Amino acid sequence: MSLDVVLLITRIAIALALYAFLGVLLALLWVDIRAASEYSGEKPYPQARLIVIDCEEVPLEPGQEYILEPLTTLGRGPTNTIILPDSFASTVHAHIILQKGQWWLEDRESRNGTTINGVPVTEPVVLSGGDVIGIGRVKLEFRAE
Amino acid sequence: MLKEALLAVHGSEVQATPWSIASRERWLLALAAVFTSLNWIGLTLASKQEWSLLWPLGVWLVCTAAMHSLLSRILPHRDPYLIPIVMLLSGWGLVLVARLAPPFVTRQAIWLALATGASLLIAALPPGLRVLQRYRYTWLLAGLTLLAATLVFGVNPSGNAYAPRLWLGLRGLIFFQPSELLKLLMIVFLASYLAEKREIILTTQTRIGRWRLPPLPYVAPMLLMWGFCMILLIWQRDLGAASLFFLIFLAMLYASTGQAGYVAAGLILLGLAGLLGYRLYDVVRLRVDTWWNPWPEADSRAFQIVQSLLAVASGGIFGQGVGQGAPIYIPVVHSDFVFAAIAEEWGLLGSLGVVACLAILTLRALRIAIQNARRPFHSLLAAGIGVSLGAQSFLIMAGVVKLIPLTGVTLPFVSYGGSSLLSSFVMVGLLLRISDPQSRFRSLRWRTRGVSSEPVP
Repeated sequence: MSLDVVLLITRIAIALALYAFLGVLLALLWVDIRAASEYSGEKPYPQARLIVIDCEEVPLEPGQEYILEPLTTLGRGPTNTIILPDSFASTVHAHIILQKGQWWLEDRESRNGTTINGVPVTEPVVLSGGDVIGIGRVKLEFRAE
Repeated sequence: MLKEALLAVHGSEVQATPWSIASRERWLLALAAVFTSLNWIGLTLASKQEWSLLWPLGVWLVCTAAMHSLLSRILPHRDPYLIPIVMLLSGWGLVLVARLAPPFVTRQAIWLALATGASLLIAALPPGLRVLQRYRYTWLLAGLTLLAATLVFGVNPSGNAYAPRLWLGLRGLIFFQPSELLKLLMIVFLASYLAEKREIILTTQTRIGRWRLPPLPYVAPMLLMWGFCMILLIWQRDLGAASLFFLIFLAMLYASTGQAGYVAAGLILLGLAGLLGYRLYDVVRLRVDTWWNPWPEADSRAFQIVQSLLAVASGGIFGQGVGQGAPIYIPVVHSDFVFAAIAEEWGLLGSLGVVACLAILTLRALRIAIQNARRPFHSLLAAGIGVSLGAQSFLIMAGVVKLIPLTGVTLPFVSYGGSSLLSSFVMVGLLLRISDPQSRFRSLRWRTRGVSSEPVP
């Protein structure tokens, strides 16, 4: 094989290598953009709400709704996601966290305890639609969408 | 359980696609290595050199492997596209130096190794980059002092008595161009200053009639420092660096305040400065005249640009092939005019490849800036670096093909020149550091002692 032929083959290979590099680079960028646009198009996590159904003398409105965040804390303290102005509730009374698509309720060692459908919560429990959470004198209904 | 949930919420930036960062980088680097090796083989065959002259390829491969493996430990969540692009371009640059200026290839290979090391050191800095942010005046003044030193001790490695003396020499062995370092330090200074004063500049505005002006007491220190840089550069007749500094300044001002008026005013000022320069300075007149119509003086003042145009034309679409064209007829082809050599030997295909690589690099830098919008200093630093690399590439590539008047700056990563390579690699090191805000490099010393400055996660 003469040198000219080898050089021609090298040139073609060089061009192919350069455009293979650029092609893979652009394909990966495209995949990134697709993934990013799908991600921003959907809601990042399943939505759920808590609705006040009974609050005795606590200054809340029955029917009031709270949208749950992936980490929602409930209690009397002003830093909670859902503030329950109830003297029977602890400062940080309980929290609800989203894990693998399920909402878990956990008591935060509160003085008067947390109940679910009237049963005291001793370990983390999965919430399902219609469950009633009791904190102090407040009853909240859980609704998933 | 709470901790896991917190991680699930706050760690939502995990890659949504199946390919990991390390494997993306590895695949791209493998393709870049194939490209670079083929170029070396082609060059050796075409110029009938000894095969032992392939050793710079070995240096490049070691640098690439070191970058990939060490960065995978230091910054596991870095932007995976920066290193492949940068290594492809610098490998190409090394081939071009061997092709166009063989005596310089040893020097360039050493600079590449040093630049790789510097980039890795910068990438291993703590994520806050507080050293840079806090001592901004110190850094900038150090850079200015070095630049001022070139006014007194400056040399030009080519030995031409009339060429601008922009280098500092050490016993005639190592030459360093302080304006490259100053460029980096000015980006750091502007990022730090604007990140801190952005709010106050935006909220307090002086009004003169209908015109809203920025509050003088808060912009004066910035303008003063920047003015020093510009005066020194113009004094040195370093037009390329001066125009680049001006563009970086405008872009960062725009990025931090979002006021297009500043950019418009700046561009008008640049036009006026150009007109004034045309009257006062021979260099500016020469550059503008040879841009406007080089053909009457093709054998004298416009020789360089005309040779460059002929080289680009002879390249055509597919190019002459590496080592088979005649780009060495262009004066200083290995540094400022390296893009013309690419156009001649790799043709339109190769030139478009270079443009695409540099464009994607700039876009990634701007993307990193957007991702760090909550950290103004880091965001502005990434934006400044991106604009600097992009504007510099544009100035020289457009100058070589006679789209705009020629400004003598280097093509980042590709041109021959140690200072340019070093400062560009340090910029990439900073970009990598900013692109991975979580990881923190713990040195071996801390680990063996079992003492960590951080609480263990």
